[in-house]
Amino acid sequence: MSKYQWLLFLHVSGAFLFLGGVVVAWVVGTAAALRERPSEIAQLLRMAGAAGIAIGAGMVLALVFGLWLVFDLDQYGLWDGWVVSALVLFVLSGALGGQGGNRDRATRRFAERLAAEGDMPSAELGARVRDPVALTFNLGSSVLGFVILALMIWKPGA
Amino acid sequence: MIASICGPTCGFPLFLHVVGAIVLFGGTAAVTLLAGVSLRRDHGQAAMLRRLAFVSTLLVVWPGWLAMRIAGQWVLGKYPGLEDSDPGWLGIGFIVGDLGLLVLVATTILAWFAYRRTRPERPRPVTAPILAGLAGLYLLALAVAVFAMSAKPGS
Repeated sequence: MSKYQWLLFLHVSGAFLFLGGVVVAWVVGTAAALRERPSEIAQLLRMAGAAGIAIGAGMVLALVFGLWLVFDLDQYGLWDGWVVSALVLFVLSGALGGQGGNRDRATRRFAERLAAEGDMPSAELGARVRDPVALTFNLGSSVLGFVILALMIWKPGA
Repeated sequence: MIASICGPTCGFPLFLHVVGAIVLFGGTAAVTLLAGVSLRRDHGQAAMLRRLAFVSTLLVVWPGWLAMRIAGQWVLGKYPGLEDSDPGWLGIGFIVGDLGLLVLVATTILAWFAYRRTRPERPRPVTAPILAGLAGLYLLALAVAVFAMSAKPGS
């Protein structure tokens, strides 16, 4: 296999880890928002945390090998409009995902504390796990991830 | 996944194919994770996790597979000679995609039984570890397909 094939494989693998992790996070995050018992919410948010690790690792892989591809191939340049747009959206997606993830982590710790103190449903936990601000951050991050994917496929201006 | 043979000219069908593959991959990872973690939990949490694994199979994995497979055929329709030339990487994609249909049927049935047969006196029915194993194997097969379809070894 050529260097190009390896780089493309590692770049695409990063994208799959990133966006596949997003899918996992939505599955367990949505399920957590529909539960009432703190121990169940804590369990599901721990899984969302594991998905977050996959998302972070995938973003690093996709970025490193994506930039390597850009520098290695003559037909693409770092200052091409679609590459610059993808990088800007990538930073935005990471920042929004980081904010959403921080709020989810705080909610998980709160759920773990309630679980240890009797595991009774709590209105405050319900409000936190369905927090519209965290939802907006996570939704924004996810949508931007798929917009980046669209840029990678259509490559407008290339 | 066949981006480098047609690139931007494939447009929407290719985007739909890749999104479907990502949803299939992520959904299968979620089922593997839920089924795997359920093996180490008490009856109440195990039942909750297995129910979610079953629902995820229906609402995430199946739509992802359908989008991936239908849009993949749509992309291939734009390149009628490609299927005839039978490149190895495309064969791997077909194997994982089409045999995956049988695996998904088995996974769905196992997920249903793993959920329904979880009882306080038997928190780990025999179908539960089989579900975790099968979903994990299919996740590995999907990773091989990602390798074949992105790197296209031999092309």
